[in-house]
Amino acid sequence: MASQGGAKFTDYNQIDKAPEEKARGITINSSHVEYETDARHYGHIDCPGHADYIKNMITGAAQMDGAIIVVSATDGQMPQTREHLLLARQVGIKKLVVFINKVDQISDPEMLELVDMEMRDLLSTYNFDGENTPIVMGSALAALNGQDDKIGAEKILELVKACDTWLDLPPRDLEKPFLMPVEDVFSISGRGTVATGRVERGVASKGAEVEVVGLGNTFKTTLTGIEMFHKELERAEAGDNMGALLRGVKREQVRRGQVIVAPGSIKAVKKFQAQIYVLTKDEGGRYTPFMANYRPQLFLRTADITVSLTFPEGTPDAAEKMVMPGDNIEMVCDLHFDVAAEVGSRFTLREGGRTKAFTIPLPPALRSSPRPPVQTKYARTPTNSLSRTSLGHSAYQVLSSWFSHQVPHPHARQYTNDHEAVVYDQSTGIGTVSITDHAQSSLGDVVFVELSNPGQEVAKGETIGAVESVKAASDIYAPVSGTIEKINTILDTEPGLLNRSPEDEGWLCKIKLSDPSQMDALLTEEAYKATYQ
Amino acid sequence: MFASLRSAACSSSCRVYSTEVPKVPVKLIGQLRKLTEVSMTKAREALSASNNDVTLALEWLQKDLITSGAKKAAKVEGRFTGEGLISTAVLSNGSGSRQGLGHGGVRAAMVELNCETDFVGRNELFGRLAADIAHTAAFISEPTGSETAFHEFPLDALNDAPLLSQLQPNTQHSATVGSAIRDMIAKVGEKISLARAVALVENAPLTQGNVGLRLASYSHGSITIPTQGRIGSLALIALKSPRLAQLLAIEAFQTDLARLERSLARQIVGFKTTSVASPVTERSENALYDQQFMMFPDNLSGSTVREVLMRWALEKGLVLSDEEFSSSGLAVLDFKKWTVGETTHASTLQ
Repeated sequence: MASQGGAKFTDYNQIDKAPEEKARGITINSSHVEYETDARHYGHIDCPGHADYIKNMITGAAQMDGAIIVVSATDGQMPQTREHLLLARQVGIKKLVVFINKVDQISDPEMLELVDMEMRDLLSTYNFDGENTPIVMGSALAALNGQDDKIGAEKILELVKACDTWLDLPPRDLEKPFLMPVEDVFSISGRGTVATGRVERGVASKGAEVEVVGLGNTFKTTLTGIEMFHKELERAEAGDNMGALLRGVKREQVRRGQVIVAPGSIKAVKKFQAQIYVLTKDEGGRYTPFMANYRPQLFLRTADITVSLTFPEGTPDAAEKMVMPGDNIEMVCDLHFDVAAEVGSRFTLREGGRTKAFTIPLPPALRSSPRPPVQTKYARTPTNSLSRTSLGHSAYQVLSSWFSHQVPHPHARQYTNDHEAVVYDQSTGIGTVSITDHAQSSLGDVVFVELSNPGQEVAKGETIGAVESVKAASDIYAPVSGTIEKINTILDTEPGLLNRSPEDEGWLCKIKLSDPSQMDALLTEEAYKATYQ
Repeated sequence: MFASLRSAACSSSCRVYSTEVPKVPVKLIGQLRKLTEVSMTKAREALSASNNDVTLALEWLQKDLITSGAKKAAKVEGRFTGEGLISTAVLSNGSGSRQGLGHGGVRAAMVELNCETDFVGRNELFGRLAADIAHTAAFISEPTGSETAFHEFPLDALNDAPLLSQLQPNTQHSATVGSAIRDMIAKVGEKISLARAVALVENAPLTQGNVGLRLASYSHGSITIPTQGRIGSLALIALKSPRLAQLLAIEAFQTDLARLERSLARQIVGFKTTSVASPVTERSENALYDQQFMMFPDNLSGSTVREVLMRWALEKGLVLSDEEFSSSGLAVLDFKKWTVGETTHASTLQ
């Protein structure tokens, strides 16, 4: 391979010396080597042990899309070859390639035929395609020492070729059906309901039929608009942070934790069987064992649901069985609400803010099978806190662009002397009140926001709420007279929103103006700035 | 029959190759491998040495293993074995037990058999070998009369002992524990080593009636055989009551007792447990009696193991009044808890 420029020569010693990697505090015990052919790029990992690999698979640290199984021609398959195949099955590998090594030490071709035959038998026993699986015979030693190219280098190239042709490419994210987990939902007056999130896979176009799935409320609608970074776009694809404008959908119908998907591509499930790895104490997991009916929180994409864990039907002594930190185990998850999930979706289980286990659901059809395989991979669910901080920002960007569409009037935002700002929409007669960027910057980190109730009538200059930060507290005054139509309830749970975008996204309340002419009495942005600089 | 096979094999080989040694038919190699799981080359060597007679080849292999197994064992000697199994064998679990040997006595053993990778550790052949060695250790141990309940089984003695199979007690086994291990090394090509063995043999107490011994065991992380896994525990429990004989005759009492014992053994495995009771001066979470008895199903109030045992003794009639606690009740005398690889990992750290 190295001679053709497809790989860097790596000695055995180097492979074995590869330092243990640490990812998210979980020890990963495998070494990677890369090589590429004309057709593909391979990341090759050595598989040190069963338990190690299962852990890697469940946590998403390493994935196998195919495998090369090496058998010695002098020994034939060994007792542990069965365990290798079982592992391959368990991690969802459907096809593998066999390399019979050390053929330089065997002079009798019939012996090689026997190794071949036994291997095909064994493959069939473990539900692989024994008949058609490519078996390449060669000598790694000859290839390494550059001797006897017929059984050495040539055979290695043949092996890679067999991988190219026999092993299936995993589908790329873009080719999969569209899926966007809902991070946040906003209702934009004049436009409708917007759900924001990061597209996990697939492509969506404006006007497409979509389905909102999960949390007990699954329904179809139309994607009437796609917004990204202040722009309205025709198309969004995997990796994009987008705002999805949904036709005829009320704000209450969409919630964080649901997903927006290509119709029929994923179902909401309430009960399923999953493969679970329980983190050890050193990995930040539990100290003590747990038993059936344990109830942690399940985090899947943006959803956060209470789950009850039991052992699969037919488990002996299920009532007394315990699960210890460090165990790999299959358990039945019974959710409080349904959530969009499919075979291979990863999720985490936690209690009291501690990630307890990484898990991967199994196909329901294989529930009773003694060794059910686990299928392909998807991006791992980010932790809850991560997704909030990183995606909350993009939600702001998306939303601010909605506002820019909503306000055609260039002078619409006016300011009071007391740090309030109001944006007036002539078509609806509604003014959206916020505090100014300037006020926010002098406040510091906001920890609490209180607002008057909708329906209340307020006069200009009257107190309509209060805001508290780590540095100061201040009342908020009504910049105009009118009736409070709506207050931003998100600030109840996330007062920090004010720190990110007080004038744009961090609106406080919407007031139906009783006297729109009051707007004219307020300061313009320039005048406000001049006052405070 | 073999004669005809031989000639057929010979003619085919003569046609294709001009070899001097009589050709070994591949079919027979396959057959021999199915019977023994020896390596390809070894199977051919055996058949070729015994004139393609499978029965003779089996005998040849048996003899050859002594030398080749030893050679292989020597070759892998320096390797690190951090995987494997803890296997327990309980032949008699004490007073009132209606099965097994010992008639009221206690007879059990626990062994750790190590290998290099968990692929081998999960293999059925390896599991069976570990189970048989544990069975052997339990079977051939004698009461020591020493102070401690558990006694370490000397590994040299165990290696030389004839291997007794738990699953097929009647089959003739000419192998010793040591040769069976070498046999396994030859088959899997990994170093296999017997790390430690402990046995517990107590005859039924002489003062029949009011004193009894029971044995609890648990293995965590079983793959094929429930009595073995990555962590194993054995615990010796004493029962004392003037009414013991009557109680043990009651089916429900036996069921409850067995349940309590399983909970105790699980508690020892599930929590970091290093001793039965804390020293008088301090309370330690590593002492079984001071731990919350989380593994006892009816313990919703979070009582400690000590409290649960006292309550249980009262509820089940071992003890009738608080005053009786000095002379009656239920106690954990001693236990052993092993985790796979803890000895080998510790020795490499030094």
